[in-house]
Amino acid sequence: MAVKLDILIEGCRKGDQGSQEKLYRQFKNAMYGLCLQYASSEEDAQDILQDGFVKVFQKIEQVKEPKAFPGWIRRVMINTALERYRSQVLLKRVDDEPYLADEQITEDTLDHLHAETLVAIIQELTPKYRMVFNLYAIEGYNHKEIGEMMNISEGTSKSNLSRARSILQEKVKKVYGNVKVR
Amino acid sequence: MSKEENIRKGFLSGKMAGFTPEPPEEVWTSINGQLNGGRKSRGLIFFIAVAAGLALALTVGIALLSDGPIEDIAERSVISDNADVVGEAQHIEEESMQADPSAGGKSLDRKTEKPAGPERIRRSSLKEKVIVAMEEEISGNQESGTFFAGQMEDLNPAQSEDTVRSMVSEHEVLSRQEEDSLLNLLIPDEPEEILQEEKTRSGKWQVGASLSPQYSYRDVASSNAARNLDANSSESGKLTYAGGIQVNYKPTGRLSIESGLFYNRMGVNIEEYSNFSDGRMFAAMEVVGEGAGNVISISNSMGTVVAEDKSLFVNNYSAKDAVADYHLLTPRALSYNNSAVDGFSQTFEFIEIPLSLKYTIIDRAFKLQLIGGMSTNLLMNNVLSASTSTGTEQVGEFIDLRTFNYSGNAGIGFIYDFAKNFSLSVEPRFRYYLNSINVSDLPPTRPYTFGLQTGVNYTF
Repeated sequence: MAVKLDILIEGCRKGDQGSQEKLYRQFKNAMYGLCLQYASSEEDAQDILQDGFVKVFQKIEQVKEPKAFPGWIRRVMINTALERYRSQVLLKRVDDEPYLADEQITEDTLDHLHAETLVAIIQELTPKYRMVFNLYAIEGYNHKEIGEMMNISEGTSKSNLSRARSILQEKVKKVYGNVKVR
Repeated sequence: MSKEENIRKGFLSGKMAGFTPEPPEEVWTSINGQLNGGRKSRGLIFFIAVAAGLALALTVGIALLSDGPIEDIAERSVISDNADVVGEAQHIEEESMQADPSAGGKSLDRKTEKPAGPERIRRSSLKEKVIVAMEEEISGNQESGTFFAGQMEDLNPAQSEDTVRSMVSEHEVLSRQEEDSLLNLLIPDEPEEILQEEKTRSGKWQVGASLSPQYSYRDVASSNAARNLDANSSESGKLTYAGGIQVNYKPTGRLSIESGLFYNRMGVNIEEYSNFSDGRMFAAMEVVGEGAGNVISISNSMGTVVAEDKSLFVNNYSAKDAVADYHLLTPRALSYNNSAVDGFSQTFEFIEIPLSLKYTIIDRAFKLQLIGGMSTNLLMNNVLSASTSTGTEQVGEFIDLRTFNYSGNAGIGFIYDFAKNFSLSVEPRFRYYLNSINVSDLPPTRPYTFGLQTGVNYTF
């Protein structure tokens, strides 16, 4: 039986390890799914998840209302992914990262169908397109907000979204184009 | 509501809410370790797990080797793999059977918990996996899958929304909002829309100001090695500067054209002025004109200097009045009043109009560019100054320099976007004159500079 969120948060504020673990287990799947959207690989997503939860436990004092916690933890994970993206931008050309196709989809594809298929395709996007697409199409941020988050102009955000959509369209076309007529 | 709004406020967030895969257990172990003062250790855990796996495999391998021939091991391996695939297929089938009948096993928002146990990764290609996933997605209605696939194959911007809308709505897979959003995702934008988006892209034009400390010298192309040696031993490079405004136009994503207006100060230093009296044409002093002592000129590697007011002044001392023998002029003039000349400095002032191409190799917040082009350099002024213990004074100017000069430029640009429309650029640049700076019979002399052009740019 799930422990009430306010009790878990209070326990985490006091540094109680049991509460931390219970809170982690309560949110880990949803947050891992979110991290996978922003990552280029499972390892990348696990790093974001780990860094994100460490921040959650370190900054849980900021949560005033337990009701706000689900939104807050989601925001922490996205910020962690953004930080990781920014550091990759500074260190290397993230656009040219190869995509390890064979490691992206597991048998769970067949369980999660739409969502996992979509995540697999989104993961194929280069980091900057993936980031803009996720923030816009999934999180609902506008281009001005995305520009501020990613330190790019509003126009660049629009352009990146446009290109991300074009790439997604092509990928979907390719996939369906290869389905044999039965 | 616009297409963009449909996407932004649409279906994907709801769809993704149902995506809840299980992270590996080691993530929590690492988080717990990190919270208790440790560092990120998932890599170590992974390493230990791999090492343990290898040890186990080695142990099993040794055991198998001791039990039977090598062929048996291969056979067992194949059997094991097949068993795994069969098991996997059964597992999928079972799950499909257990799915909610009302959703037909394909609900968009369903939350399926992943069964516990190690992940088994399929080794087929991504495309196959996605095809299988999408076929399964519309499984139970093979007709719809076939129809959808057939339609998607020829999807192009000319297709009406109605066609695709009927594809998705006919099978009642999506809600109206999801349907709109999927349409927006799948139907490419009209060319006008893309063009409009391209227009709104930032960075077409850029203006900025820059300053460049630089090292300036010249290249002498005399066939007379002795003259070259003489000139090179008596002359040296000089630290000067350049500065101005630059304008960049970016016609494509990575290529930009640069022009502008720059003030460019160049020159050389002459330390060994005693060479002026050795009588040689190159790096020598001579008297020209109507009579000895009337007009005094000095030629060196850069050109011919005529003394101001037809006389060479040092320390306000008119050299032509001092001596009749020009060979004795310099030492005597320069030592007048015990104010010995430390050296001469030749300075040329140009207005430069560059036309360069810049190619962006790395296009991130930090940009890296290759720069190459040509400049027209208009000579505005030139002076010969003498440095003495009492200061520097202008003692003459060159009379045989070209007014219009052309140079080739090459460099590397490091650009950092420190604000939305502002960037800082640091560009090591090399400039080399393509023509000789003087028009006299002297050997061709081509000035060059190494500069560090540092500027601030505004993009709009």
